[in-house]
Amino acid sequence: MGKLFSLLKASMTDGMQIFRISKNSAKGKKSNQTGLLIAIAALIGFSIWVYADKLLDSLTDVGAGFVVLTLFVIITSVLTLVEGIYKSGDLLFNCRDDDLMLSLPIKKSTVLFIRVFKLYVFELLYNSLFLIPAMIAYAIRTDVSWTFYLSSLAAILLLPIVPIVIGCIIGGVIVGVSSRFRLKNLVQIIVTMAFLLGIFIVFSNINSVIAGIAANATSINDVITRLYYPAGAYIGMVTNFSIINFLIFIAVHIAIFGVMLLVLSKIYYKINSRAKTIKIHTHKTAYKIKRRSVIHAIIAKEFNKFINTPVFVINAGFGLVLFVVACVLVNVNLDSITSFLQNYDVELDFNLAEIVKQFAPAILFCLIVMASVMSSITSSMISLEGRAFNILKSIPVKPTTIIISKVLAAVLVMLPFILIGDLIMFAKFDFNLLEIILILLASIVLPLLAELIGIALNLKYPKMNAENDAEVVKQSISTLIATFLGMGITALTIFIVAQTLSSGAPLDLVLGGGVVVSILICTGLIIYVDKIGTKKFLQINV
Amino acid sequence: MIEIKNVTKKYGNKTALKNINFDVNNGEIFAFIGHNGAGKTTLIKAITGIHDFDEGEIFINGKSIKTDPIACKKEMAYVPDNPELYENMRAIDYINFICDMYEVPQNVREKNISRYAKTFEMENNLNDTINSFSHGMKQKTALIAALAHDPKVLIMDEPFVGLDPKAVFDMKEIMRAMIKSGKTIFFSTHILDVAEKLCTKVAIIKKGELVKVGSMKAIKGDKSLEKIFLELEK
Repeated sequence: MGKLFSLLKASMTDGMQIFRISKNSAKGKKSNQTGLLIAIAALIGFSIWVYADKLLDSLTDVGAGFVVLTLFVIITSVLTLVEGIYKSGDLLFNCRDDDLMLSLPIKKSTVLFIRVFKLYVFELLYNSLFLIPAMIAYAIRTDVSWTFYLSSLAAILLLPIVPIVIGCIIGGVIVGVSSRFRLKNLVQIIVTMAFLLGIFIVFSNINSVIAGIAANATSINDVITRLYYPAGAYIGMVTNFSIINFLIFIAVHIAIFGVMLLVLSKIYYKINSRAKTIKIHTHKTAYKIKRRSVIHAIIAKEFNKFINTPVFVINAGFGLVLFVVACVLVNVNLDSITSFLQNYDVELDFNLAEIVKQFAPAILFCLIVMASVMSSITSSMISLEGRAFNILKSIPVKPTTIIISKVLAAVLVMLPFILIGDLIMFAKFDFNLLEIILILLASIVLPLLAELIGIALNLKYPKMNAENDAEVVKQSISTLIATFLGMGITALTIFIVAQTLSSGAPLDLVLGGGVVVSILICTGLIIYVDKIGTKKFLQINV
Repeated sequence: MIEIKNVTKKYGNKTALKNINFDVNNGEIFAFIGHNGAGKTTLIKAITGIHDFDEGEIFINGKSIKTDPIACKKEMAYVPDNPELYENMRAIDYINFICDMYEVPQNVREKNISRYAKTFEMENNLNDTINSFSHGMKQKTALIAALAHDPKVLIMDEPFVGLDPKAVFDMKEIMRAMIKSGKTIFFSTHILDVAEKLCTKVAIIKKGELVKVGSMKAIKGDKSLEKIFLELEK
């Protein structure tokens, strides 16, 4: 047991850098960074609380306030499942401390436990950001007893377990299958994307699944329990607490976690070894040497890193793929969106298809903003260099050139997806020439803007000593801020566009204004990168 | 030529380098020795422009690494102690990438890559990805990349670690050939026998301070370098 605690302590100290940021940070800087993290958490928590409170407005009147809790339990569980699927590939099977951990006189199940526990702690913290404000909102609006707090505490601690277990099993299967192929990274990306799209499709059609279950259920709680036991059990404890159900709830989660550890540890070493095996197929002595410009060579190097880092591709690519899917859906069957919304009891007092047709350029502009800011690639590009960052610092190339090349590489990754989306929308709706020019300009400027923000954040908050790529892409402060900043920019853009259009401003003027503002911000960011970013670049010591 | 003038580097309250002064002239192989944590890698990273330093100046062929880092870096090549390369690249792509960064002409890079790949017996491995390599093969890849652009100043941190005996022999021959053509070599090492036989000058660093610097002959006299080093460490 002492060994396990020592290992957990060492692992968590090393892995939870997001909460320490940098060992070398000056005291004042450290408190600023901690303050920023607390501010972000408080902002998210407050937004969730406001949203939950708004939902409770109508639901408490009909005695169904618990539906808010169900909603947040389901949302956090789905998010944890998605994160578990594509993070487990790196967190469990691509760790840099493998040689040390697997050479220690400890059981392989202990190694697995430590790694899954690390994932659990992160998911617990993320889930808490959503669950605690919703629970507080419910507690304020409803007359709750001490059993609510006891059940909620157990729920906060235990609810991440089931999605993590499922995510790890699926992640393990994906790594196991893909490791059989020579191009295993590519296979891992494709299979993971397929799984995530599958989850997306299932949740898009969830209403028919619910209808089927509801037909055979006697109460709402019965529906939830049949749909997803942990959510149903928790809501059951909130509405009608029983100590037996409480103990069963705890026992079931611990048992699921234990069984997963037992089963996965039997094959963990095998999958891990195979995942780390590099298949060498070439013994050709002939090789090509081709001279390229500095920028071209750095962009090619960044592409190589990007396509060989599955968690990086999936994180950035999923939003871009969804952007194209959204454009295709709008193009193929716009009218069905209205009936889709009606399935969720959303009654529209206007013709959605007509509105979309009338404001297609503005809608596309907002979609491009969303796809750009939510797919920030550069927010982890510096951190992913790891110890190889010294290569970049030792070469005779200006830091500005290196930074801008990284930004260009990221923009080039995004551009094809955005242009495909544009073409689909151009084909469906009547865009005039000016609108086409403005949208094409936005398609270049907005990804550039998003990637300049990303690189500026990563230069300010680098994480150069991560155990694996998932820690950088999903659990570093720069990516965290980029994600939430992206959400804020998207919301702000939609708000401004909607407000200006509803006040009667011409569509072309709104689009043109958006492009001009984006160009101005880009210019400011380029100056920032050149003046301050390069200093930050040189200050990063590995 | 490398000129190091009053270089001081601090990590918070800890002084990693204290007022370091010495020159490495053209045509010299200079060994930099010291125990673990003495400050060898810190000074090497300061010379190569990877880390900044608090006081003093470093000149590479008359150019300041502080005010003209790009010009300095163009003159030199750096081989780190632990070759952390771009793991997903093929060795040839990595070497070509470094050549691109130094803007090496096509014919020069073709000639040098072919020559050093043959020397280090890596011709059959250049098409393989670096993550399939052993430590020694990564070290050889880093050496080929460093030598491919024909640097005037070669700076290496523990260059012989992980190399097989033949590669060590070949590396020493390359170093001897380089100084004959007037180039400058500065490297840190713990292998004192090699330093003693190969180098014309030596510096010994202890807790961030230079305790000895000069020609190999003057420093060791009739004793072995190992004996001198151990006496200084007491």
